[in-house]
Amino acid sequence: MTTFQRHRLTPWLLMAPQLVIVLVFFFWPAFTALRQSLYVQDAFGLGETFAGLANFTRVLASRSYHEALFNTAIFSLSVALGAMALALLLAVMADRVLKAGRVYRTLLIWPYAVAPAAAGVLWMFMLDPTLGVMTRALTTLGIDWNFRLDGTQAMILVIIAAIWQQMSYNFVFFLAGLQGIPASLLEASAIDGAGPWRRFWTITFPLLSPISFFLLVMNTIYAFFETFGTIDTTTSGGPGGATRTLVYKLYQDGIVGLDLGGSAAQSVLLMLMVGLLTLIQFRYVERRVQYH
Amino acid sequence: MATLELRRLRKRYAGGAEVLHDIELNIDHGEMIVVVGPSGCGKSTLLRMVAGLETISSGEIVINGECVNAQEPAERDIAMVFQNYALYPHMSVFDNLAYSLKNRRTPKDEISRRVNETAQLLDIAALLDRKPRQLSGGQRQRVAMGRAVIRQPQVFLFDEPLSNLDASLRVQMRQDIRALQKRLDITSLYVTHDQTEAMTMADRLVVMNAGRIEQIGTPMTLFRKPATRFVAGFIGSPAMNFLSGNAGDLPGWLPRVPEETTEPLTGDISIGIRPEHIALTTPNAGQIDGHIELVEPLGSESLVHVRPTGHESRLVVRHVGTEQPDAGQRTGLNLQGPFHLFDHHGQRLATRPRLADTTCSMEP
Repeated sequence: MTTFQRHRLTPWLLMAPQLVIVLVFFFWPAFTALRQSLYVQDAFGLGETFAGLANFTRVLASRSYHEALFNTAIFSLSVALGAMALALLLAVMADRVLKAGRVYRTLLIWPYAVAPAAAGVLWMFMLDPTLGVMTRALTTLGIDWNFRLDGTQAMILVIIAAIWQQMSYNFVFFLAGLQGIPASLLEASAIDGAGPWRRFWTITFPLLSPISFFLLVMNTIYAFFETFGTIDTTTSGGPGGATRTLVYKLYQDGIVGLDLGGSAAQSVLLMLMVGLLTLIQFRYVERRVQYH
Repeated sequence: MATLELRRLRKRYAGGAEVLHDIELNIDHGEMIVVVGPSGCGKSTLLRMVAGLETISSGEIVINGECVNAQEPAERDIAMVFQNYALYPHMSVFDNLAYSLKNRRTPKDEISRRVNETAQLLDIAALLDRKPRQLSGGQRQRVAMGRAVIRQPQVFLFDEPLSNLDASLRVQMRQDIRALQKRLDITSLYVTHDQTEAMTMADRLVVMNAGRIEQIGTPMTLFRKPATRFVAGFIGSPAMNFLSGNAGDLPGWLPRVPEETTEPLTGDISIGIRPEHIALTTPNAGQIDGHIELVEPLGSESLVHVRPTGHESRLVVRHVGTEQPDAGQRTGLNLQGPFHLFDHHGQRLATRPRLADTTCSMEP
């Protein structure tokens, strides 16, 4: 213990690389955003004036911000729940497969290796109003598919693309979780008279709850932030702002519209929102989690 | 109420490996059958087949005269105690016990009545609100027992239930399980690799080796008259000593055993002598002398490893008494018998009764 106390500098040196990265890529930008949100910039970026909370009140009062908030809620909820439910289903099925199991697993993990932007483009091509393979199939089913005109369809497209990508990530965790459940528990449950369905809901699902909770947090964050590329390459927030989520609006206002103060205020709000959401999840959802 | 029959039961895995060959076993109502054998002998597979957790390659499992091959585990009316207990970690002890009753849609008040009854029976009533992780090994074991008992099944299956407990608790639990099984009068199949556990608990013992049943009988029958060399070596602690050699070329110092068999001896044979049937004596006073190589004191007795002069293999002698001989000493060996003779296939050779006494008469 005395040895540790004598070397006061060494621990800091050892942590330095990590600390520098966190400082440069997290604390500095976060602080800049916080500062910028309190200023108004001129059109050429040459000067700025202190504006107090004016940026925040303007953003919170604007209709387009409310719309983006609503879009984000729909989008995030659908993506998080969809990606998790689908991944769980696939993981349960892959867990049962004995022959060529590794092939299935590898194939199911692949989408995660695809960049979000590429994933978006992939789905855009498949569902393209004029060229898309799936559009043809939908047309034969009598569905008039054109996501460039129909806001709801555009939302469905980005949700599908985002789910498809995130599903792989969830799948890996769910599969690992399933394989961590001792076979004897399910055997005991079978002897105790539980059918496959009941076995899943009374044994498997509760035992997966720590993983499900972790994934819920991760998926929420994914849907809020990382889907930017997917939206940008497919719909660019359109048509008419139907797929403009908070993070996409922030980008449009700040980078395209050059309203730096306003977009900084949005990013501060977004940060608060995700923080609050995570807090709520930990406070209320985690109570139901069975750690063992 | 229940009998269990295994008829020409076989298990073959997809790769072609056959792990069980023609298992035949009839278990009477209320009987405690212990299957014992080294790891990998197929005993756990056998148990899991009875439970319905493994498929049956051929043969029949019959409970109460009804073939249950096609039935799901839940339909067979059996209960199983797993080696790792398999308690549901996210449920309280109460819910663990109640689980099977809930699955069978038992009314709520009956569930709580039976859970409380079972908890009383197993002395775990104070633990009903706890989660399995808050229990000690012995308590978990009791809960696992409770979960098996609560349904009052036709057949109990035990898969090495005591192997995760420490030695003193194991002795206690094996008495408790035995008492409980007798009291509830439920037909039981109990698998273990521990021969002491097997001897003390069984009504009848089944010794398995490499997927075959070597012998079935009461513990004392197997101890006194092992049918094969494998059983002779497996049952009894410390293990039986074996001397092997050609029947026509046995060392002269051996008691005149070969002449006592009912048929003439040919080929390679093994002669088995239990450690308690050899006595240490002063040099030149026994049939042969030897060097004491190792002494293992056990308290009231010692295990003395002796190498007979001019012989390759060591003999273990159980030497009763607190005074122990020193390693390196010369000693005489008095081989008393009974002796167990096995042919080169390891099958027991029939011997005339009271063979041991005739050889003992040579004693000075």
